[in-house]
Amino acid sequence: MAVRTFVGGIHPAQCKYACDAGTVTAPVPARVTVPVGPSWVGYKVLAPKGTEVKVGQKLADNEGFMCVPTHSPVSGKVVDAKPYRAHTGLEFLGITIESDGKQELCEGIAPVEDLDSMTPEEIRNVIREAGMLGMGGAEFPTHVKLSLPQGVKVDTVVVNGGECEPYLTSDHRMMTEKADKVVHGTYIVMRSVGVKRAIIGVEDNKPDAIAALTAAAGKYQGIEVMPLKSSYPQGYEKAIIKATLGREVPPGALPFSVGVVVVNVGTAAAISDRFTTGLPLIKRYVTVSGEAVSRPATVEAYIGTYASELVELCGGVKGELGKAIFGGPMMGVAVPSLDFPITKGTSGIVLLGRQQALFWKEMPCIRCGRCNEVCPMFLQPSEIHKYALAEDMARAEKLFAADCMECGCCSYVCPSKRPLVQSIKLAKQYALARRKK
Amino acid sequence: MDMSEKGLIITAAPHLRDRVATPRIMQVVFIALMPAALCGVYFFGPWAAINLVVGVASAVLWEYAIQKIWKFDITISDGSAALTGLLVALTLPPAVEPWVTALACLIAIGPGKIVFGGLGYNIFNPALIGRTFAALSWPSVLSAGYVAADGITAWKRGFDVVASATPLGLLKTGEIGATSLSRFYGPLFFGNVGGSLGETSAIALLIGALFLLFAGIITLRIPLVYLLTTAGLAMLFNQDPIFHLLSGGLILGAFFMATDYVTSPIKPAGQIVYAVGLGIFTFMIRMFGSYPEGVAFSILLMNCFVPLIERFGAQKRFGEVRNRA
Repeated sequence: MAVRTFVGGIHPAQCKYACDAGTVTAPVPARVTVPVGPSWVGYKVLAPKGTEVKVGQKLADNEGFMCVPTHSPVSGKVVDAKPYRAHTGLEFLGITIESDGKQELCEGIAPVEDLDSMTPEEIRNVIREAGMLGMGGAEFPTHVKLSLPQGVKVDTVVVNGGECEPYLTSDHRMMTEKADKVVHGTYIVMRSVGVKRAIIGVEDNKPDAIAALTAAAGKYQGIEVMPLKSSYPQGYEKAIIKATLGREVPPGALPFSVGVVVVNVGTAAAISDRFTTGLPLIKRYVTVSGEAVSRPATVEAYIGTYASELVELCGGVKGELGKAIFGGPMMGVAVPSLDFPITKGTSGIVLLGRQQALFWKEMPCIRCGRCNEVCPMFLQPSEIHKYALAEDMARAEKLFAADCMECGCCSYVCPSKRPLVQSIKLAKQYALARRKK
Repeated sequence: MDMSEKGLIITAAPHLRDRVATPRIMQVVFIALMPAALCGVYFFGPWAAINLVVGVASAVLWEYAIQKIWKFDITISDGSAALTGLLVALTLPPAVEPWVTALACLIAIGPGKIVFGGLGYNIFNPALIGRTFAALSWPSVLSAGYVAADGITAWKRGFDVVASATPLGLLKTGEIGATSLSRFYGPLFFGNVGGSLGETSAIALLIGALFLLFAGIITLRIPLVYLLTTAGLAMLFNQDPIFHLLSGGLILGAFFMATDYVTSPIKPAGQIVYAVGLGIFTFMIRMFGSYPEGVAFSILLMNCFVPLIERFGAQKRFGEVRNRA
């Protein structure tokens, strides 16, 4: 049988330079700025300026359903708690802590002993209190994913090991090195939504990860490791559901509408960490790679560490730096400098050389149809693009601009180097705004 | 920290692009036409070589001149003008007087392409606009350009030419057709037969077409449906399907002109409708029209229908089938 996959997609050069480099554990940073969340949400700061904090201590929280608390990754003193301009350009609340280097644990950090006697709701609450967000990049609160609406039944948990972005290797390293944790986290997620079956989907360019996970999954009932074709965007939620189960999530719907809950492998491992060590989400794997990095590697870093420190840890910048990206090169955000802290969703920092980062000459659309072929959502990117450029957002919406998941395959393949996904994102925002009215 | 963070480039994602670029696609198609062009030069002698050079050079020159005069951006580096010039020369008779080729290129580039807004905006295949303009304006000059395809002998004769009829012309005038046409199969396949410069050698064209298929520039959808429709109609009307497939500009048109991205439908279903239409028009013109050959006309005709074809067909949408269930 052919390896499972979705329809469409592209095969960019993988450039997984950091793959064989092993994982570097970052030292405790002298100073961190922990991003709490968009500043307009109104998080309640529990550790104002001047507070002495310990590792795992709650820094801020908000009662809202879509919010999770943030914890201190270091022990030390809060020197600042104020809004700052985050790497995305949005204003975030940031809590800056100067570390004392002692890494004293906060009181009450303890493993969960009686997982088997816990109700799904209790498990979800532990996950929320640990500040779990989707670590694949979307930063969607994990407990929200696991809280199913009344009457909705799911039958499968899909664990997303489709690290399809070029350069990124953090999930790959995670699955290889901490397969036990990924599988244990998967088991906890299964418990929290009450299903008996889980599929860990991993692209077949990571055979060592597949082997490690398969060995680890043997200890549990109902967890299957499924190799998937290496193709971008295999790690997109709807794509991996299609690949693993053959189900298509309807436009605008969430995975539970086809009986599935999807979590990222990093999130699964972090959940396992919370249950076995008691530590909330304060660390993550970050790939530091790209042509302009001296020694590309995957770094286990504290949330809130400045990107510049991580780059320094990997030997600094090599050659002339052209573009710095938070996340992967297909969907990541280009940043104006490396003076930004990493967030819970920062899977990588990719530095491109000047030559690589130069603009492409834009030419007229020659209607070759390549964008239609690769679109995983079966859209017609060139058509939507045409209307979006003419600011005819109503027509763009009629062509389902709002279905776009912004993978960027269309812009990648366009021989005329047109900004397809860029304009479709705009049309999508118009469509979503209009629906809200 | 010593890091030159000034001047970092900021754009929206994606930050990577595929290597395939529009000028490169034009180059690949140009190269794919080289076997046919070289075969034409070999079989038809020095006039063919002159017409090829005149076609490519004049098309580029016209584009440059027009854009210069009207102060448009100069786009000759995208390679499409050179390709159009090559196709004009390949679809004209090999020994036609070179001024015809040059004027055909002017029409192809000017009214055929630039007046619509340049590359990507033209409704009709520019090369065929040029060729058809020449064919309708100077029919006798064109028929004088069809010469004998005798290879070495043609080169020995130099610039003196021996006129020759095309197989489709003979079929139209009724000089052949009553008997089996299988004696034409060999010449039509290899190219030692009368016809336009680049259309006679089926094998050379097919080599180029295979190259395009493997390079991922074209798919088989349009050419195959076009050829099958034509062959099917030939059988229906009791004609020799192999003769119809190999003769005239059918192979050149099916693989290199009907597949032109700009003037053909994008959606797969639309491409099939388009190709069936091409087959019907081509065969009908050959069978019942007053012209011996109908490939150029049928492609131009179907070009008109492309916007209409594109309007039909519901768009499938990810997750929609389940949505209804």
